[in-house]
Amino acid sequence: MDTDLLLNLAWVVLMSVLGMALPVGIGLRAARVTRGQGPPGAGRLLLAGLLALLIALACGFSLQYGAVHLPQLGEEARPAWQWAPFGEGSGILAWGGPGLSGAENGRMALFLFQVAGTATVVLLALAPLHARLPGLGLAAAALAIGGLLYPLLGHWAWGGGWLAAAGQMACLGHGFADWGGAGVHYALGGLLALGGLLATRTRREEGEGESRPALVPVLLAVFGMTALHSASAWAALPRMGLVVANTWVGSAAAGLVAAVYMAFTTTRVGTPMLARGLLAGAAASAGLAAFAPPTTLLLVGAVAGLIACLGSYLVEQVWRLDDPSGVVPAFGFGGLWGVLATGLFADGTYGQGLNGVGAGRYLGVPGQGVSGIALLAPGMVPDYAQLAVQVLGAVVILGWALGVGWLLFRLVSIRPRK
Amino acid sequence: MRTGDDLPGRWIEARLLPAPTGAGLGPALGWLAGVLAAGGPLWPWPYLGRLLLGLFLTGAVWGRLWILFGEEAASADNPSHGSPSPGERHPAEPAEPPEQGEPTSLPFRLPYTIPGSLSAEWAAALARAWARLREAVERRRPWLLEALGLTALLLLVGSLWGRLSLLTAAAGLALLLLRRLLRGRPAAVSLLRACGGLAWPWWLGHTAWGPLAPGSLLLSLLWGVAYAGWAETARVRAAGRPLLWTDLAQGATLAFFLLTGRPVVGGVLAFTLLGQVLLQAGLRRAGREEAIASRTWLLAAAGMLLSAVALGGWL
Repeated sequence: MDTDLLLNLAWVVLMSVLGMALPVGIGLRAARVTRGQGPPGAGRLLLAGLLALLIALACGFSLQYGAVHLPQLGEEARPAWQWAPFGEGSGILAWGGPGLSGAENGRMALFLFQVAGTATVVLLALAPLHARLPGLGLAAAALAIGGLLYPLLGHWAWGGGWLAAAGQMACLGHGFADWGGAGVHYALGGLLALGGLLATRTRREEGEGESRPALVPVLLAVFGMTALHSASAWAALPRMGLVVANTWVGSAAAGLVAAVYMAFTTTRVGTPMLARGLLAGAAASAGLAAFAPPTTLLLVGAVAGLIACLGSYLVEQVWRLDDPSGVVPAFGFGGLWGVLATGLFADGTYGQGLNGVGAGRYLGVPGQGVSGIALLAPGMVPDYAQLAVQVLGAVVILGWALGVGWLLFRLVSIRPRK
Repeated sequence: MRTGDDLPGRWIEARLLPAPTGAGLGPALGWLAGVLAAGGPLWPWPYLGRLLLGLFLTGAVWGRLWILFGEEAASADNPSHGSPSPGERHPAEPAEPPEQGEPTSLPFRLPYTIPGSLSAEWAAALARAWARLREAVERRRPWLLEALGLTALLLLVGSLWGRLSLLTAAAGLALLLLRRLLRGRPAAVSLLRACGGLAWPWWLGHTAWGPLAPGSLLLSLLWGVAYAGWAETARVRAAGRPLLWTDLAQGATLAFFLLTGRPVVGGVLAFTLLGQVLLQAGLRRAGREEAIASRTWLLAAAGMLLSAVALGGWL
């Protein structure tokens, strides 16, 4: 086994394992800040996470990455099935066989990444609802999200599905670009939670608020996000330093802006909002962590901080939904912003050949990669088609999470517990 | 023009009023001098069209703006109101600002804002400013609309002629604002009249054809001073210190041409200046000081255009 391959494998395994800090942080935070008199939140959320792992092994992983080939992780060509009803590039569904039978080391490493992603989405979706769902409903929701909702969207965006192929097939930039899962992980999880809150009519009582900011789980989550973003290329790349720096810069900028905003409007810094800002910034950074310099991430993070504040107000004060851990504004809205920010501010210096588009020359410029429409590197030209496919992706995520999520939670929620 | 209910036998009364100083001829002549000083072509049609459009812009649009933003506007806003009685609010005074922190009048408040926060204070200040602005707009709507429309026209036309002209147009707007702010201060008004009444149209004319040269800038300022002195003389209808400024500025122009090695131009300018001085002396002796401005402006304008022609290399 050559050194590069070994390094790639070690990197993906290590970062995926460290990335598990993200669902752990989300779960601990949700368990700590959620009110109600249901059973202990941490235990229920741990149960949901374990189910997510099992369902990922059973079918989720195969559905999501069944059609993906991993030469960078030493994988030989392998048979796979993909359902593409309108011909090549319209992949809706893939299947690479049950479980991990016959999988090589590379695929095993990718499975670890999948586990962390699945657990993240499942725990995000269940964070504001876990104390209100019946046990059976909680388990069913975890299985449905981890085994179907997340893998399908993941296949469309990352597994060679129609969103990824939109660049090749419909000339929409490089196809949907989502480096670290701003849309696939965070927006999906946060918006599934929103769908669940709407479906279960979980209203916020007057005077309720996030009294315990639970900062340690937040820092744990940001650490996990950093690791997951670093593992997102499924290889060890020279840009990993930039990815880590961007995640931290975006998170810090968002936290700072959220804190300043609260100090400006309420005379106090507001630790709960600081926590939401940190998470929203890291979530937004995921979209373009490898596609833009840290200065751009300062801007993206600052906007994410504002989104965290205004989104929290929208969810809690206007819609009066009970989301004590703030996953909807921080991850749902922050992640959506990250998807759009990629189409706006990707600087064009990276992502050459992503989804099979523009490996040598793109838009007439040699070496131009994924590009937005502003803050481009010198010599790069704006790519409005990339922005279009990012908007399309955001709409798909929004519709998928709210539509199917609402339906799912209507089915699994019977009554709020008293 | 006004309807005449109190005028028996007439339905409509029309009156012709003299335009206040600053409007019309001075700026238009300044534009023409600027164009000539630039030395650019005046033909074919696009250049001629630009010249004519500039004449309209400076003569009508700029002149009107100059009046609107100047001290004339204050009296034009309330031409017939007498002094308010004690306790009565003058129509020109702004309405009482809303109480600080009054939540119902806030036009915009950031989410989460609580009383006592910086955001609440800013929102209250914004509300007061908004109330003042709204009242001002309602009270002076025709004035504001006209000023906004003409300003937009000025910037639009300026932008058609390139970045330099746009910058010059923007500088002109700054002059207008200064004029508005400094009205009532005679020294400042005179200085601004020199800049805005003639020098600025000169700059616009020059930059519409090319970059402003230092010589052109100097002459525009000198002629601006001459114009300001003449306008003040016309306003007070008497000879005094402003007339001296007019003559001195023209003398400096004459010296400029002599020093730059163009004695012929200097000589012709000396004749135009001498003619003005003789006219001024004669009218003073005859006790007709009020006619000085109207009798001498033609000679001064001829001198200005001649200096511009010489500067532009037409001679």
